[in-house]
Amino acid sequence: MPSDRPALGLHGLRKRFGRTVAVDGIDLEIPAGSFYGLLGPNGAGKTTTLSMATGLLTPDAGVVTVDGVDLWKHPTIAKPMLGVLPDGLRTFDRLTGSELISYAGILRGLDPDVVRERRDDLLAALDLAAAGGTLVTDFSAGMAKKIGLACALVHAPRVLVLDEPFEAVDPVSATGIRNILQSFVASGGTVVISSHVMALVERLCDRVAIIGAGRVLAEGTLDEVRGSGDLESRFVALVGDTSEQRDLTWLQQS
Amino acid sequence: MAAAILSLRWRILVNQFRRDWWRLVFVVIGAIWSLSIVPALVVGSAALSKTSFDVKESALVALATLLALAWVLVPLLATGVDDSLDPSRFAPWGIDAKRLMPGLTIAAFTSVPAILFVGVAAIMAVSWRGEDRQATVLVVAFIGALLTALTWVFSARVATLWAVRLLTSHRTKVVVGASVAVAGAAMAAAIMRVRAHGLASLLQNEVATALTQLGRTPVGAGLAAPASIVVGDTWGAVWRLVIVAAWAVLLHFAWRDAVSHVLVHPATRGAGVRRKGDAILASGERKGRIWSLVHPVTRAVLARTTRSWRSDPRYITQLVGALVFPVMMGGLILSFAGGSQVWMAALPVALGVTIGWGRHNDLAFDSSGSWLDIVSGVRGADILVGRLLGVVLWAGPALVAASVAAAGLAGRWDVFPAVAATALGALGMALGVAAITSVLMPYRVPAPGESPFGADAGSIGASLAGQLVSSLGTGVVVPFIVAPLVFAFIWGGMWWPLCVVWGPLAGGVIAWWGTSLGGRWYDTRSGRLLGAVG
Repeated sequence: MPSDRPALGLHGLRKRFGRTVAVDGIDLEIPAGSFYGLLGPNGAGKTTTLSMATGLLTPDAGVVTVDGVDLWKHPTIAKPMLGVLPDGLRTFDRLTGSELISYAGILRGLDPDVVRERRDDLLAALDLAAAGGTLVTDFSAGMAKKIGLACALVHAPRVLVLDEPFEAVDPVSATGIRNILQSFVASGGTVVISSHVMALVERLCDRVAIIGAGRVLAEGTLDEVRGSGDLESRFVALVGDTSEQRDLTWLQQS
Repeated sequence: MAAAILSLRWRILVNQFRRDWWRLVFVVIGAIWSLSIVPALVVGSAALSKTSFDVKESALVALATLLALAWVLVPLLATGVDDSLDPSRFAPWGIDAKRLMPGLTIAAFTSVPAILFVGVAAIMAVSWRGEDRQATVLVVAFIGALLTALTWVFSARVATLWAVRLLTSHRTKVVVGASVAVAGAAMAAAIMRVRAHGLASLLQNEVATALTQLGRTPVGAGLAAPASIVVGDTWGAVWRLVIVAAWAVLLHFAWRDAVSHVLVHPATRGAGVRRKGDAILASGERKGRIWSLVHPVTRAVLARTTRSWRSDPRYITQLVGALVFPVMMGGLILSFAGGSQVWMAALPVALGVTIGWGRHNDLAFDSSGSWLDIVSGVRGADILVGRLLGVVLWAGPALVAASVAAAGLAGRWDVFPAVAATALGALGMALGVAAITSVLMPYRVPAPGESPFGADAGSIGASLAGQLVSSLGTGVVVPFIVAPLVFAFIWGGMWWPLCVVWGPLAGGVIAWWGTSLGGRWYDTRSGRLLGAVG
């Protein structure tokens, strides 16, 4: 059963890179057992926030809790509860797909026999069985995303934090991934995804947060945030439409 | 197009300086250093101009040969070449090599080293003043020197592009084996020759003959051409200039060919290799008393790092550099030291230190791939030990082989155990220091799949700082490992067996201490590491 404590708590998170303030005081409580969508325009601070929430980037200020445990104070207790798929980071590309999943399993302290069984299950479930012997460096972007997801899942974490998990993934694989994530949430797990695809978020998430310029602009259940309209209209209204709509007449073919 | 490329180069430079103002400081320091060697060159050139024409010819051909070699080898062995105009970056724009080349060619001469060495070539040409028919001699000298400088710059470009192409193909192992074998054979031949006939004989006979021959090849012909005018052989000068010009054209053609290849063959692929089995799981299931002492995470990291040393072009370049460069330097020193026992003993130890020192930025080679290690919350020490063992696995046998070679060439098999033990100790010690600096002062290196010979824009200051600190750290601990070997050569007796014990013991302790301390810092700094290397 999901506990009363938030699966992931972000309190007063701040991060600055030189003169640029990337995250400017983000507070979020992600309830256990929820499918949570983090939305925001490019450069809004989503990836920086998720990096700080998963132990990849030291915050300038603020606290991150995983099931009530302070991630930055007690990483050895908090990190095993998290499964992470970062966006835009490379991976150990000289390993094969199978080896990368095994590597993630062993880092997570699993027994080799358990790793083997889960590795084969994940390769089959994510339609990667044929690619298991190929080096990750030869993977397409979508395959690399799927293998990253397998690495995040291998130790059966309580909370999955996935940055753009459906980016570059084909529709068939996306359906498979959706099914895996939905049954994970149904069993009491928590999923946090960031995405630009509103239709996908509306279809999957029960709670969303929209962030812009490093701050939370709206947060709540899907219905609370989108109100009477659809999520895309609400998103555009919050983050602002493109300031100048130019008609690119020179692009017209006839 | 040429103007567009040159303005692009200028724009990139200005933007880099705006973002990191201190880069300008390094460029200014580089320029000042370059200018500071000009007076010495002018004095050398003035001294040379007073010698006879055949001495001038030999000296200039020798210098040209060394510089030609340096222009090919330095970009391959030392990463850090500015790659802002890496031809692969033009691939998305659909421009063919023919249109790119004029811009790339002119841009190649806008770097500090290129400007400096065109200047060096010009100063070398001035050495021909004071000869009969001075005007003609000097015109030929300048044309020859500038054509030679062209071949240096072109050959550096061709060498790096071809090396990337070879390293990303199936032929990687053949290339590595051949490079090490050629360097080793050249050194062995030089040492054997010196030991058999002495240095003076080598310089008088082989070197003199070689220089005469090199003066007839594109390497030295440009600088030897004025000598032909001096002796009245105009055709001799003309054909020498023609072969240098033809060589420059040929190199430029090879460069263009390599650029057009790069434009349609991104170097991001693993040559389509498929592997059976799972080396990571196999490492976890390895049985045996020794393996049971090694943490499963360390074993997995070791398996992963071993794969990188075998197949990642960036690691392979480092491996070849770590083995070939000291061996060639050693060969050069030994040619002059005449195979003395002390120098022979120093070579494996120096090899151990340089291999270990070379790992001072070890973690950065995982680039942002380290995220998996960091999110998993594993102990930094387990990762560092795994990486260290990955080096010991190939460097240990290499050092023992070098010690065997050194003892054999010196004819002192009795010193082999002490030399090998000290070399291994030096390796452990340098790796221990490197484990700390790689956590404390990481700097960006080419990411996986990028050209292994490039430098990430913005990393030059950090790399200098990292290299300086790791050099100081290594310099402080080296004497503790090496002292007993020095005493053994001076006093003999009990110092010899002491070396055998002391080397592995002290090296092991420092390696353990370095990985423990580095590991603790890794744990506390993990949230900053990705930003520094990714």
